[in-house]
Order: sequence, then structure tokens, then C-alpha cells
Amino acid sequence: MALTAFTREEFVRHVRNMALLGLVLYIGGILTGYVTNWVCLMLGLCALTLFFTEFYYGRTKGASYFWFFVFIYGMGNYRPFRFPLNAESWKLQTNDIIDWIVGGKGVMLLPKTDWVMLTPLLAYTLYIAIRLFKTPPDPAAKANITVPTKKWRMFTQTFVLVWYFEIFASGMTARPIENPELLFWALAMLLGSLLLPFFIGRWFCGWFCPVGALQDGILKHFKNYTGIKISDKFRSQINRIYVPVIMVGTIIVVYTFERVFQLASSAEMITSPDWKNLWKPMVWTKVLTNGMFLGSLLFAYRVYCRYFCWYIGYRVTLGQPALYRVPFKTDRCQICPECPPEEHCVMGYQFQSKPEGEEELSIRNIGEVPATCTLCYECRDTCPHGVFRGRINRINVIPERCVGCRLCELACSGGRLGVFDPSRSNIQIEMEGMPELPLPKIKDTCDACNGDPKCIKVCPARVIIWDKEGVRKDIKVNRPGVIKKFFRKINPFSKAPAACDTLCGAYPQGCPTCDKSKAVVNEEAKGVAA
Amino acid sequence: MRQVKGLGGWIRSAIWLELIIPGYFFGKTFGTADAKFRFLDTFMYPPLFINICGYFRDLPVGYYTGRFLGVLVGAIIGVLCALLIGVFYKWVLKDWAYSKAARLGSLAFILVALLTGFMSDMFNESIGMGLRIEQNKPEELVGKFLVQDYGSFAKGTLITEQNAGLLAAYGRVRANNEASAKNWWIASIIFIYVWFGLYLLCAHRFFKRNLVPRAAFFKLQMINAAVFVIYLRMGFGISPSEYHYILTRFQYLFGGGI
Repeated sequence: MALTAFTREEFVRHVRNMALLGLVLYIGGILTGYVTNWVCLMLGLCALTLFFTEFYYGRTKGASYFWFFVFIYGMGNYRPFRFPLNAESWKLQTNDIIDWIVGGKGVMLLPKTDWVMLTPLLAYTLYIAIRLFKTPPDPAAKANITVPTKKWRMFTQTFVLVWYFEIFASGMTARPIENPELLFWALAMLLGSLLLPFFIGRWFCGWFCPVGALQDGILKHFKNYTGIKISDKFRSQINRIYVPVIMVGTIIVVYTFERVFQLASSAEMITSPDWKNLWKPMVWTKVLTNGMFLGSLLFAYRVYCRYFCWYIGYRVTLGQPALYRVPFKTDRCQICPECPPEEHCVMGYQFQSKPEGEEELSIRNIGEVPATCTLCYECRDTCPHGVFRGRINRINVIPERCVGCRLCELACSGGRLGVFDPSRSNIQIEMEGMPELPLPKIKDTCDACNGDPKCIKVCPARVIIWDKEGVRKDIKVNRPGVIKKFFRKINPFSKAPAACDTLCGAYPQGCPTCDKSKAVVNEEAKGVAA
Repeated sequence: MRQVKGLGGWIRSAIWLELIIPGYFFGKTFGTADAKFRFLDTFMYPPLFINICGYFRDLPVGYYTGRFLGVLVGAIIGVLCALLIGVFYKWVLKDWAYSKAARLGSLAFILVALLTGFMSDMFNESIGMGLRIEQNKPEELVGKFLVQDYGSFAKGTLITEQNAGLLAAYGRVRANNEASAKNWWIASIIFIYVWFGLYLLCAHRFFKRNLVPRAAFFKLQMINAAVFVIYLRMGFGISPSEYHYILTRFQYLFGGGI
């Protein structure tokens, strides 16, 4: 085995091998009583790397750190390095499910030889890590992560999933403070469902929820998977019905019969796996939840998050008065035939149509996405016209689309100055090349009409677009704000003229106001000289 | 009159469900309180509400049925409060349907409703009581002891110490930390007013995205503020003493209050 750089296929194959090995060990470990939390963590990490292959392969340094982390974590499970260091606290942490002496509780296939299993696995992990260190980033994989927010989201999801796998593996007890899994969901409930929705709605679902992250990973892996189609009309209508119904149902069940849902029942099922415990509602709740999660994968992307997750009731209802939602600037929307945000939206929103029955509260009317949005920002990053962004003060052009109609010139001068004078507009169509082709050029003085450009609205060929990528970064139009203008007006020592403080570009031959002030200065200078 | 097709009718009924949710949050706490905590709860909620719910809760119909009835009556009280807010909203939004105006009012109210209905319930009943006296808790002493502890930090600590001998027979007793009491008290006051600010800000955003006329914003916010003042004046659990109580539980949970 040479320690050379990975190819993409090799990387995927090795990660798959590790995941398979981890799965076999995990199932075998459950059956024989040999379960260590690091096996679970390793399994989780392998699965993650497999799910987000492009992400990790495009960022090989990051991936190698992950694999080193697994190696170090695995080393920690050798008895001399194990944490916590005494048997009592280990017993408390694992609720006496996992024995302190590895393999000592169940029927071991190879008794007292845990190193036989651990050492080759750790060596394999180290091998992958070293080879990844030598691998340069794959440009093709990197190019697939074109969405800037997406990488942060994937990073966060990975972090939470690793955390979740780890705490899932470290044992269960009935008391939330001692049971890390319950503590995780208690925090998720408290922060993600009760506090954060008032600020940012369902942000937790898009960025932190391990179930959502798994769906992102699983369904993105099946690239050609389309799922069973759900009509847009049905989707929009059912969203309005489902959320209140699930909310009322949940609160009635949970708060009325909460003692039926004793968390102890699930812990009992684990500590004393007896078939008589199977009737316990908590067990069935888990079975139903997992079944709905797996079943929902048949339909489409994130269907579980749309219709089955009961947290949606809390997050959407409490998110109704949320302070922030992703904006939708209707005037920027060009109704493109192919709408990238619609293709990428995890919640399946239709941005271009008004759903029947709720026209007045449609996305286009309100100017914000609905409360069910998970704030993944796929729409914001994929829309070429910056519809989902806040203020953008620059515009750009796609010259290939221009047909030379010159409507933009008229709109620019007419909208800003009130006269149709193409020579005074900030956008000019010039004929260049052989044969001559129209080439729109934007002057440096353009400030996109302070966020409301007329040219974009009139252009029939969608040549002019919002410059959300900042291609024209070097152009800076520094207009003073209201406060600056006010202080300039009241400041008797201000050097800038109060009347003309903008680069309007409206008068190429000379602005009358500026000329007037210049004349005054000249007269004063003449007077001094005389 | 426009004909309602397909799921349109269900969508309309969902508006009423959305109206019920905050009311339910607000009122169910009265119902969940059983006899053990009812005396304590009279310090947090209007005694009339507590007594009405307690009557239904104590009917000899079995534990879960009694609990269900108590919660239901509490929820009905909460929904009535939400509907009452809706009347004032409708009064301001003259040309709106009552259901829509009431939905607007009750969903704007959801922050405060949640504070009463979920947080106080969760912290006081689920966590607070259990932690206060950890093992073999004497049913007859829990409520009394905790009520005495409501006054102030210094007083609570003193009472805890005085009763430590008595309660020691029932398990380990922990007192508040007097040294850091002032900071936690200040934190509780800040928290409550930040929450109040959030309540008004969220309501503002909510009005905006539900296409409420701009001219009505100020009037509706005045209604919200009035609701909040009445809420405090009625002695609801949002009083600083409850925040003292909640935050000391946090202090306790994370190791600062022993």
C-alpha cells in the first residue's frame, strides 16, 4: 500500500469500506456486548464523509483532520487512555450498558483481545488520513460547492452530526441531565423550538438538525433520484393546514398525557431488553418516527421536515412573528423560465406563482418567504438576480443577451432625470466588433438608482442583472447617507457644497449647481486677487 | 360569495386552529397544576383561574381524565383571553374579518403566552420541584417550602437553612447562593424587559407581513402593551420572582448556586 495521493474513486471506496466495517462492528458489538462509543462515532464519520463526498474530497485537508480525529478518539478507547478514567464514572455515564472492561460483559468472539479489533481499524484510519494529507483538492469537487453559504451549512451539519453520534454512543439514562441524547433534544427543544424561532424561524432545521443533515446527505448522494411528485398546489395548501393541526395535536397529547410518554420507558427497553416493554408508547413513538423518516425518503427531498416532523408545529407557529425571514424582492424577479432557486429549494417553494386560495399572502405579495423556510440560503445563492438578498447597489450585464433595443438608455435617463436623453444615461449601448454587435456598458456613476434600477425592469432580454457577486467591485459610488448629509448641511466649516454632493452623472457637460458654486469660488478668488 | 374549493375550507379552519394555539399555551398551565402545586401556583397566576381548573382536575374521574379536563378548562380560559384580545384588534382593524384579526392578536401574543404556559410549567414543575428536594420529597412540605422561598434571595436562603434540619430527614437540601443573588436578580429583570421588547418587535414584524395597514400599527402595539400591563398586574408568572426562581434553577443546574 503506497502512501500516494487519492483519486476520487479510491477515496470513495476507502470511505465505503470503513463505513461497512464500522457497521459490521457496531451490529456485532450490540449482539455480543462489545460496543464502544468510538465505533459508533467512526461509523457516523464514515457515513458523513460518504454523504458529503464532494465536500470532503474538495477539501482534503479538512477531511484528513477528520480522520485524524477519529484515530485519536479511537486511541482514547485503549484502556490506558480511556476517559473517564475510573470505572465508577464510566458506569454512571453509560448506565451500565457498556462494560468498563471492553468485551467483558457480553459474549466476546475474541475474549480479552480488543486490541485485535482496534489496532487494524486505527491503522486503517491513520492510513486514510495520511493519504488525504498528500491529496490535493479536486477542482471538480470544489467547483460543485459553488454556493458560498452551503459550505458553512455543511460544516455545521457535520459538526452537529458528529456530536450527535458521539453522544448517542456514550450511553443512555432516563434523566435528561445524565443522558446526553436527551439533553441534546432538550436543548434542541428549548433553543431551536422555543427561543430561536422568534428571531430566525426554522433556522435550526436547516443548519443544526441531525435528521435534516442526514436527509441532505442521503438524498444528495442519489443524484438522479426525483421521488414521488407532489403538486405545487397541494404542497402550498397542505402546509397551511398541516402546521396548526400538528401543533394542536402535539400540545394536546404531550401536555395532557405527558406521563404516558415517560422517557424512562425507552431507557428500560435498553437496560432490560424485554419484549414486555414493547408496548411502551415511547418505544412506539421512536419506531413511528424512524419509520416516517425512512418512508418519507420515497417522496422527495426533505419531505420528513415538511410533513412528518412534529417540531415543525412549534417552529413554524412560533416563527410566525419572527424578526427575520429571507427577503423576496419581487421587483427584482425576472420570472426566468428556469428558476434555480425553485430547483434548489429544500422546502419546494414556488416563487413565481401565486398559490390558489392565498394570493394575498403569497411570497410575491408579502416580500418574504413563508415561516416554514429553513433558511438554508440555497435560493439566495443561486438566484442570478439577487431576489433573495437585501440591498444591492450594483448592477451588471450579460452582453451576449443584448439585442440593442436601447430601452435601458431611455429608462435610465427618463427614470432619473425625467427626460428621455440617452446621452445622459448611465448605461450606454455601443456597437462593437465585426459584424457590429450591441455591447451595453455601465458608467462608473451608476448607483443602481439607489436600489431601484429602472433599466432592469424594462430590459426585455434580461441583459441587466444584479451584481450580487460583486464583479464590479472596483467601482465605488460613495454617496453620503442621510446623517452625513445632515451634518454636512449644518456644519459651517464643511468644504463640500451642500447642494451637490453626488456623482449623478446627469450633466456630462457640467452640472449647473456645481458650475454655480465654482463660479462663486472663482469670483471670490478674483476679489481676493484684486 | 366566493366558492371554497378543495382544501380551501380546511385552510380557513386552520386559521382558527392558529388562534387556539397561543390560547392553549397560555391557559393550560392552570390545568396541569394538581393539588400539590396549586397553593404555590396561586402566587403566580390569578387564584380564580387556578380554582376553576382545580375543580375540574379534582373530579373523581381518574388521574388522566382529571388532568385532561383540567388542561381543557385551562385552555378554554386561555382561548377566551385570546379571543378577547381579538375583539380589540377587530376594533382597530375595522374592515377585517374577526377571525383574521383575532388570529393576528393571538399570534402576536404567543411570546407572552409561551412564557407562562410552557416555561413556567416546565421549569417550576418539571425541573424546579424535583431538584429542590432530591429524594423522598415530603409531599406536604414541598409547596410550602417553595412558597416561602419566593420572597427574596436572602430570605430564601435563610429559610432554607432554618429548615435544613427538618428537611434533612427527607433528603439532601440545597440553598440559594446569597453571594451571587444580586447578579441573578438583575439578570432576571433584564431578561423580562428584553422579552417585553421582543414581544413588541415581533408583533411589529408580524403585522407587516400580514399586510396590516401602516396606520394601525401604533394602535395595535398600544393594545399589546396594555395586554402586557394587565398580564403583569394580574399577578401572572412573569413577575420577577418567577424569574428569580427560574434563573436560580439554571444557576443550580450549571453548578453556580450550591
